Amino acid sequence: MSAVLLRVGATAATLLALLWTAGYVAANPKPSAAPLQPSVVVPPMVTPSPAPAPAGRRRLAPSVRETALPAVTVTHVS
Amino acid sequence: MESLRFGALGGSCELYAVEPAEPLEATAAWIALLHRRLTRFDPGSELSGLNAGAGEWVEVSPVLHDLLSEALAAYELSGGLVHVGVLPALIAAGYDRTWSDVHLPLSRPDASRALAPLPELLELRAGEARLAPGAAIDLGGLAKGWVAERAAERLGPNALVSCAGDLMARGPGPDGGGWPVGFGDRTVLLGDMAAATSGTTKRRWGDGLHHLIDPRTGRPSATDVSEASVLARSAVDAEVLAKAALLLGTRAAPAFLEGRALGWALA
Repeated sequence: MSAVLLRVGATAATLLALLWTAGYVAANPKPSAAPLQPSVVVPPMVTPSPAPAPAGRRRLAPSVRETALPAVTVTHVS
Repeated sequence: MESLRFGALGGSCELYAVEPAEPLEATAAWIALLHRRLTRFDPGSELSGLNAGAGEWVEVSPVLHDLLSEALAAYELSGGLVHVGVLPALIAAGYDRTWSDVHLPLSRPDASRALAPLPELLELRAGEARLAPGAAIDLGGLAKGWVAERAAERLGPNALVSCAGDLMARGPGPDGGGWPVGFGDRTVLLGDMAAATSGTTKRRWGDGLHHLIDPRTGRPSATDVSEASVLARSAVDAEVLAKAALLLGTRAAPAFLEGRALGWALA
């Protein structure tokens, strides 16, 4: 008799736990856009660039034009 | 616009062309061939053969003969600062293997001294060259500029070539106003113009140890310029002027570059 009661009790506890967890998950959906906690600082992408030249260390002849176009490539140390 | 990137001449090379006169792959193969001929790290290269034959007249190809002529001209243009005979000093400073093979700190430089004038170390006559006994040369950046110029010619009237950072531009570029390229902290439009950068920020293997030898001391340069970028009409001139500017430092470089360069940036 006690063995039967134990089986029934264990089955009931398992079913109750299953129902409770399913209900909890349904009631607490994870928003995909939620911020990470703690907040994560994403460093800006660093691309190699030449050190800027202070004034007086740079000169361009009048025939050389500057542009805002993206550079195709760059002269650099190898 | 077509483009191609590949490794050669000690770095990354880039080809850009609008309606190229030959396939970019063919130009890349030609550059790779020159690399094998001109490298000092391959005992079988033509340059290594010349160095090994120091003291004797050695038959050289038209390409190497032309480059050696450019080297002598570069020595004159730079007032002796651009000196291809730095190889023994470079090896003494520790740069005795390809950069990709360097895994351990290299040796400290030996006691060094000023190099003899290049015309005393290198003689040319038709089809032949002779190095003084004990002399050896490293064409270094000079070869990059020289190859960039000729590669741009091969690609046709509207092309841009970068040989490990030495640039040669021809024609109006992809949009008609010139080829936009990064120069110092700016972007400029290059048309029939070249740019080169010389610096000590790479290829360093210790405090004060890098690959740019000052022929006045025989040791790695120690000026207040770590990078010099120069614009000029030819890639060889740009390379020569950039290296000379770096060796001169910020006080003397602007006066030297005035009238020789189309632009410069010193950092």
